Amino acid sequence: MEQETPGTGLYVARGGSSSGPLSLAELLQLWAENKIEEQSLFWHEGMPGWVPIRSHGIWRRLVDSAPLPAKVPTADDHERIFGSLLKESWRYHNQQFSASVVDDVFIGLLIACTLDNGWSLIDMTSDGSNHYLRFENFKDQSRVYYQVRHLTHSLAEQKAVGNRVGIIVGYGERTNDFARLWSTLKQELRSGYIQSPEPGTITFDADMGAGYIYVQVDMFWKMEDYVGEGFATDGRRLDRDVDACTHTLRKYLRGRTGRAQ
Amino acid sequence: MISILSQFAHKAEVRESKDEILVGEIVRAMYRRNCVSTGFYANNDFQRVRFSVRKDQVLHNVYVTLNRLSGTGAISSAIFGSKATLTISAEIKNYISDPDDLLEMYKTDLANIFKLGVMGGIKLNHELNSVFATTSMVIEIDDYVLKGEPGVEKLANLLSDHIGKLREKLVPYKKGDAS
Repeated sequence: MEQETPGTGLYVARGGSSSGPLSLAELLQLWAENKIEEQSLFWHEGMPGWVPIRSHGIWRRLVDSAPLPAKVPTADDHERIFGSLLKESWRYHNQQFSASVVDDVFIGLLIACTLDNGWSLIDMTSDGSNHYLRFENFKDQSRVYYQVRHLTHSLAEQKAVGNRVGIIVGYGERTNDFARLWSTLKQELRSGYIQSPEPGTITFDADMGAGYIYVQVDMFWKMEDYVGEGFATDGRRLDRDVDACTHTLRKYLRGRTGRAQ
Repeated sequence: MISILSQFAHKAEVRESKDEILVGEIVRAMYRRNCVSTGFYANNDFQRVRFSVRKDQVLHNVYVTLNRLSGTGAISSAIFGSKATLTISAEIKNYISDPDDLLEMYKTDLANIFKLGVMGGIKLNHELNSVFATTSMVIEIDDYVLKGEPGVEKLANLLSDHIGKLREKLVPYKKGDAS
């Protein structure tokens, strides 16, 4: 039998907090907003204590109550929704674009930083994914070069393993010393036996024509270290890493072939 | 003997590299303008770099193309200098485009017939959501490279000047963002 329910002074409790006193209309509003559930407790003046709302007659009133009419969107609402769909589409488009060009941002940063350190770009080839850059310091005629290959083009790959490039960093010095050239040439022949270099594999190259000897190493670099959200770049970090590589390779080259004349 | 030969080969390499030296300086100058590179295409005498313009309400991308015309050999370098065509193209991106824009495109295409890019004229082109303004000029590479800081500054001014003019042309075509 349905209990008599007053129109005001109603209380409902859920999850340790209670609401009330409420009118019947306010209770129906809470129901429409999904703020009342079967386990909620119910009480009004005159009742001996709290009872599960499911067991009280008011439950029937709630279940039978019609849902609140949906708000009819205005012309402004339509335009706002259309705008947000468009904005979201562009956000996705830009995200995909950024993922595919992060290596180009890195290459530009590498050029800017290397030039700031007194080198000039003397050779560049690029097909969009494979980049080759060679720089020379015209004061001492030393050279550095980078061969960069973007490995993770898609956003999904980047989220899974990070944004990686395979990079070969090389350092070279010009020499007129035949013994030094010959020593590097022998190393180059031995380097030829290495079929697939791994990180840390150091190889040599001698350019007899222009009198250059080179040493190079294979690595994998993480782009997030240098290029962030919205193409924000960290040139200082790149400078530090490039300096470390150049310094070590120079030492290695001189250690193996003798000091520059 | 090795010394003489290698000196000769080295000089030839540097002479052939002048366009790359200039491209390097262009990239650095653009980074200083808050434009980051987002695309490279480069082979022997042709280099094209796309830059994304950060924190600019109008421009989206700038494309710089350098096409070397002369000066890779010792003789041509001495006679003609190191000439190259420098093409600068600025792009705005609208978040929405419609058939009226196509009509606008035909008008600008017609106007382009009477403009000579190499004479400093600015050409406009519509492509879907983008509008491009392009200008070309023949430059002497030696005016800008291996000249130290004055050369770098001269290059930065050249880029700023032309990008500013292209931007001005594009302002009327920029629509509001989707928000």
